[in-house]
Amino acid sequence: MKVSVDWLRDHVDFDLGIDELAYKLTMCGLNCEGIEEHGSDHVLELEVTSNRPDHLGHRGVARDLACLLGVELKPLDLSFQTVDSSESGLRLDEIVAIEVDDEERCGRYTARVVENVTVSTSPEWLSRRLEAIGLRSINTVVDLTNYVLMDLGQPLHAFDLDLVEGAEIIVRRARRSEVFDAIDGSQHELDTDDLVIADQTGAVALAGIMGGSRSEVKSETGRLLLESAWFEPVPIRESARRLQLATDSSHRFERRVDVEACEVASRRFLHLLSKETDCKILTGCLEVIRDQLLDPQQPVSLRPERASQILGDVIPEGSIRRILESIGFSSEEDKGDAGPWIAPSWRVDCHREADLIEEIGRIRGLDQMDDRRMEVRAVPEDPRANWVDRVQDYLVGCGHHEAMTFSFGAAEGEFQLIENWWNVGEPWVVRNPVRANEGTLRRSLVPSLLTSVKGNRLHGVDDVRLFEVARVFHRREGVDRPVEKLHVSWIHSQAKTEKGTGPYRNARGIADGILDLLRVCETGPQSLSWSPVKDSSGFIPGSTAALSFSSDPVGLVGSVELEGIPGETWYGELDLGYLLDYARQEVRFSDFSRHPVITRDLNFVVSEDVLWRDISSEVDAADLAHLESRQFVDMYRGKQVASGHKSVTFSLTFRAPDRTLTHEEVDTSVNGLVDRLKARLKGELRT
Amino acid sequence: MSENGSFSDLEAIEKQALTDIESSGDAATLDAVRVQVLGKKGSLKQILRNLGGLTPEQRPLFGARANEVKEKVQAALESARDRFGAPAQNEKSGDPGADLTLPGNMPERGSRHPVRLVSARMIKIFASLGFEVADGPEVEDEWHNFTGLNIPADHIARDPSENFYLEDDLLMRSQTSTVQVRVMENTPPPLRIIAPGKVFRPDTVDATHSYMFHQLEGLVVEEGMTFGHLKSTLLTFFQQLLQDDDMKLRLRPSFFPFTEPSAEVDLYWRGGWMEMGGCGMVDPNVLESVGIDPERWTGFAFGLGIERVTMASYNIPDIRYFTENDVRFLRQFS
Repeated sequence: MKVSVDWLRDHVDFDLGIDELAYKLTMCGLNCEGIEEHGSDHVLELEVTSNRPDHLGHRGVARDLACLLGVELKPLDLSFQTVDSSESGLRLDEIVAIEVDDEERCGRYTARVVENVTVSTSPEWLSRRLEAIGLRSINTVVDLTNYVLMDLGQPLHAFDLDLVEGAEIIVRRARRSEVFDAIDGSQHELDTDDLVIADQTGAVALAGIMGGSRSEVKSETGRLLLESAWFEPVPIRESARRLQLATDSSHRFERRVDVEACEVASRRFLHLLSKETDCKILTGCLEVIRDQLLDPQQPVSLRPERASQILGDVIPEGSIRRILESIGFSSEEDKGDAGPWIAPSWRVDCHREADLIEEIGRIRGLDQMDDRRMEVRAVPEDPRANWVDRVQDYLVGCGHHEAMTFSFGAAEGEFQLIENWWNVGEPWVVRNPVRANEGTLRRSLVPSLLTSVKGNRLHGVDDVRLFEVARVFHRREGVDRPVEKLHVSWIHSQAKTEKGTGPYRNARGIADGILDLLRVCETGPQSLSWSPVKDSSGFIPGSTAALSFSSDPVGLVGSVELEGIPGETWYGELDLGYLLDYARQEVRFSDFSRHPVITRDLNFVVSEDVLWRDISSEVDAADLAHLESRQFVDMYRGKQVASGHKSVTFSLTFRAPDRTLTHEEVDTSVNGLVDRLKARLKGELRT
Repeated sequence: MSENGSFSDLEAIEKQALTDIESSGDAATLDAVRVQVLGKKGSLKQILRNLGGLTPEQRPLFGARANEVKEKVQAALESARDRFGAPAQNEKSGDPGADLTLPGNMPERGSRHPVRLVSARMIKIFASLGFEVADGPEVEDEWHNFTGLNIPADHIARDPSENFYLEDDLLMRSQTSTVQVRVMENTPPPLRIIAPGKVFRPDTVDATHSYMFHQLEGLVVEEGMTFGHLKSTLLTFFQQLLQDDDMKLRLRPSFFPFTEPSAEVDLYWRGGWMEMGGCGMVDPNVLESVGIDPERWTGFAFGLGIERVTMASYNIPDIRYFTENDVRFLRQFS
């Protein structure tokens, strides 16, 4: 809210530089976001929190300032002369009647009538005040309603009484599709959720939001009906939002104006109007008020020692009383700091001891509290977080850059196949996505990472390696909220094309590296295994391999084609959360043999349909004595090998823990393996 | 040669060579042994030219064995040479034309995301102050996101346009304060936790706003906690983070439904105050809603914007860099 410093001086005397003033207000909860000069005046842009509608008027701001400075707020002059009957000899209640149809939404409605009004341009002081805070001066009457609004935070509305049809003001719900012509020239189709101020022909104002053009006060206006009312906050907010009519008035009503301000504000208006113009104010005020609306708030007791305990502050006796009284709280004189305290009508946010303690802290200065150190406390290690860190560091070591993508995805995206592979049901739908292609929660990290990779490739980066560790959102039968899984995904896209399975083995190598790092092969499920994804499944044939445990999907490695981007792109993704359940917890030393190793390279020619998985599992099944390791070396197709066949080279190392092996015993083992592979895989040893 | 003779010949060559190396007394003798065994006409080369007596199956095995012998002999020569202090063998065969001022082949190095780097630093500093990391779901229900945090049913923060709602009362959490509620539900005090993580609000994207960002939530519930403890904790944290004991921090009164008193945390940064997050004493209603007695236990909570801290740390002018994932940006943090 814009606050004029000169205007503040109408309510409180102070001698502060502009920066000092701004800082004082900021540190009592009114954050000053900017200072503008306006002639000799300064205008502060203050950020008002939603619990303090009383700060939406200069007097409310001045009240806190007075409290901070330990001075009194100046009294408000509400005096004016009235006449008992109109020109035509009628009393107020004979001129107009008020009917409130919806007391739930309109808690209080007051109306006063003024005759013989002269509507002219505003006096200089008034237009200067309004212009300083960014309002355009219109005429005396409209300007004074705005002035009181900005002064006391209570919206007022003045109708041209001669343009109100029939002698009745009705506060009622709008009719379905009722048309309303607003004072700003806009036209709105209302709904039964909207509240209107109506005469016999229709709506003359949209309650609490904006007046209607039909009863607008103009220079020829001679009689005024001044409305000062209290509307229930939430419906005002909803109407203003739906109709996209946010006004100074709705802004205050939706934050709850002071129920007692109706009376004060209209009197202040009349005081100023009678001071500035000749007019006749009719005696009396028409009012409809909901029962108990004006009941005082429940008294709250305060334990001064509790205040010290929460704030960590040594509060001198009497200080609490001074602060609370100064901001409008009341309590019997002899009760000291403890109260019980009754909050003023403009502070409905203060109804508990904790609320009073906040006020004391706010005025004394939250920043001034003594330093208090907490006791030292040891933090246990988090093994899971450590593993995630190590996986990320591993990927960084492999040349990948960590990316951060949005948690949303498209229901029917370009890489749907990859998401669907996880076999996790329908995606969770976001009701109000920011972007059209982000209407669901993502089930895989790959599509959004691919988008980032694509962006980089289009920027001319020829070799892009990204990774991300983040949650994906799956659906499981019988679970009524998303199952959040921690995934890791990495992508390598390059402009050059390599022959053979090189890129696949690189992408897969990272998956193997992570599995090896976590040691899931030692401790994890035995049936964790990789298999080619069937060519018929929609993936690029021969491009994709899956890691699974029983039928649970655990990981996917494959290639994709990015439209318009040459070269090749490989991705990998693992259900990291799943694997972490099997991560090795501790390292135990195991001794190793110091005897010499014997290595044998074997070169087998097998038919194309025999996979490395078949060969390696045969080697494992043969259970060779003293076999230390087996390793794939190379695969060859070409002139040297019959068509439909390939030659597979692998290397075996043998070592005994307690002695030097003889070549004879190793040869016996190897010969046995050769026979086994010949028989079971129809392989031939290549010479 | 007998059928297996060549294997035993190999054994013999190896044995003889090792003995000769052992007994040689100077570098010249040693070199003679080298030529005799490994030279072009050496005994090892000779035997490999004469494999006629082997079956095809035996040949690769024989080759492998010969290789082993060669390596053993080479190793023995190497260590014997050290004994004589002889210069390394490659002295002569070195490449005199090598340009050793050429740059090395630097392996491609990846990088951690700056937001993660800063988040990790924040976690580390808070760990040194005794805070343990807690975790909660990114998809929440209204109870944990609002009700448990003392946010009334008609509060504007619950408005569908302010949140990413899914089905029923599920929504993407709009603040990490949800983790406070979850931890307090499950763990009796004393508590001292932080919860870093993603939060979601459908804000219009600009230089300082995104609809997904990260917060680090902190919560302490212990006996005798005061606002002074909150202030000291944040002060120590920022001093550590910025490695500057003279940095300026201010706690400016504000309003949050789940803390009372509430304050904004402002850091003095490049000539102005920058908002880093919110904090306050845990509202008694929040403690009561999870069954903790607010008369016995008091506590404080804070939520810091990790992107804000990251932007301040690295002087990054626009929040959108974080999710663009341009490697020219990411690489700078390797």
